[in-house]
Amino acid sequence: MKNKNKLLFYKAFLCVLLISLIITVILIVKKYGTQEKYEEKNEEIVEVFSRTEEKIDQNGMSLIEFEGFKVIGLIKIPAINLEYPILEQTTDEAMKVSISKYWGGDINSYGNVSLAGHNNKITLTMFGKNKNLKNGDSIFLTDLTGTTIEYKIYDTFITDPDDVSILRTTDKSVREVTLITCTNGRANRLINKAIEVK
Amino acid sequence: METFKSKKVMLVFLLVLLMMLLPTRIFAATQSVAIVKVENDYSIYIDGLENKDFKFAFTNQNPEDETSFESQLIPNWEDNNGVNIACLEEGTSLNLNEPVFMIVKVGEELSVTELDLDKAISKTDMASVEAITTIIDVDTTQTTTTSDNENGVVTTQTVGQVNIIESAEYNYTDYEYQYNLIKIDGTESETATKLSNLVDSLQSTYSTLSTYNKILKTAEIRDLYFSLREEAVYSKVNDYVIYQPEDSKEGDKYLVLLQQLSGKEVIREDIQFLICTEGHKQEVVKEVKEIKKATALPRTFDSIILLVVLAVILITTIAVILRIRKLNKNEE
Repeated sequence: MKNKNKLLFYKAFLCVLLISLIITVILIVKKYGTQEKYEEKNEEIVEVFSRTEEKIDQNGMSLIEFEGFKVIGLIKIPAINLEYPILEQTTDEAMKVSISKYWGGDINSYGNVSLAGHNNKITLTMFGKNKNLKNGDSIFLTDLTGTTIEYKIYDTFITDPDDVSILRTTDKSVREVTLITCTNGRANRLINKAIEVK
Repeated sequence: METFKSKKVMLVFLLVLLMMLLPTRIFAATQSVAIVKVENDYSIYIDGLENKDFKFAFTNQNPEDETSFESQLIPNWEDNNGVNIACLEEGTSLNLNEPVFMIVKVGEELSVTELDLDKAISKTDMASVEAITTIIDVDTTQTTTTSDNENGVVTTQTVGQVNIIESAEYNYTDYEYQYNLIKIDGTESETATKLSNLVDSLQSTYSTLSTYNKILKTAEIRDLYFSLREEAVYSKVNDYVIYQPEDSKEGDKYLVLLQQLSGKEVIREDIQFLICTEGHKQEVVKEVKEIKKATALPRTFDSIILLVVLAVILITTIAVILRIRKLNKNEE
């Protein structure tokens, strides 16, 4: 009788586990499926951005949108085969879609422009391969005027999540770009700093 | 018939005699020469004879008959580099304040050339031209960028410059550098443009030139430089930096006359080129008003919690299945 009760309990528990398993698998497929979908769309947006001549309206706003976010430029890092549109704002939703501007002026403006991107460890997309970047690697940023400027990485380091000093502009006469992504889980941030090649 | 034959023989004999009596020398044109003064001696380089043997002699009288100097001709000398030269030594019996003529014999060919010793260039001039643009060390690769902020508008200006690199050898206690900028576009100074072109072309070809041509080019550069220096109004170099003029544009090229003075004495002088890389191009950018304040960096972590959950569920499921099977066996 005791065994029968136990058997009944385990069977019920198994049912719960199977349901959980199905839900988890659905969530995983949805999550990575969405990432895959955005990857494909990102490629399209990069092409649209490169092809479109009129990218800004009379108010200087971007005419190109991606999933409801304005695209303000392109980022290309040949060393890790990365090419993404840059979204105007950094929100949880925007960061699921592409790389986004977190801090600073317009793309290719003087001063420090900081870009944020997910460290997608499984798919190695977005900033998932930033840890492989070395000093001297090139970053190309294209802005809404179609101008592409080359930057060279001069520093890569890990810092705390509250170290906002990396966002500061130290020299207004120099164009600088800072790439931010998470590392060590969410405990730290991996920073790549690059400066315009003159 | 006999008479005709003897006349013919006589004619041939006379012709042979005439040919024997005729002077054998051939009158040649004057030689092209370049003269270098070394202390009080003159080294004379003759175009085309730098590697050929010849004989030479000097006289104050323009000789009507060069052959009368045959006995005075001496073999050519060699300079330190083994180049054949004629040399007019200090202590010569010639009066150097009067015209000096040089008789040269190459093979059987004789020539007379009047020498203009005033056009002789010094060894120092030769060395200076050879080292031109490197006499005073400079760095022309630097630029200076300044930015002004006025009413929220940042104006950035980048200018080219020549940085003088200090030399310990010439580090006198009291000295200064002076400069004069001359635009090279043919409009401001034709002489500066000529000098610039000449220096440009010589920098790649100087080592391949014959000594004769080196002397000619040296003289040309020296004369152009002296002509520019006479008219130059020098300004003091501050902080060892010469900036491009304010009204210059990108791509403008300037000739920089540069000199180092100790008191009024010129210690070193040189020329340099200043290329305006970006000129006074003004880039006006809207200043970014950073109203928001960042307190933390964005969270860009790719959570693997779902994968962990999946693994836990799978392990638990397997464990439960095993447990059920065991209980089923016990039940049987």
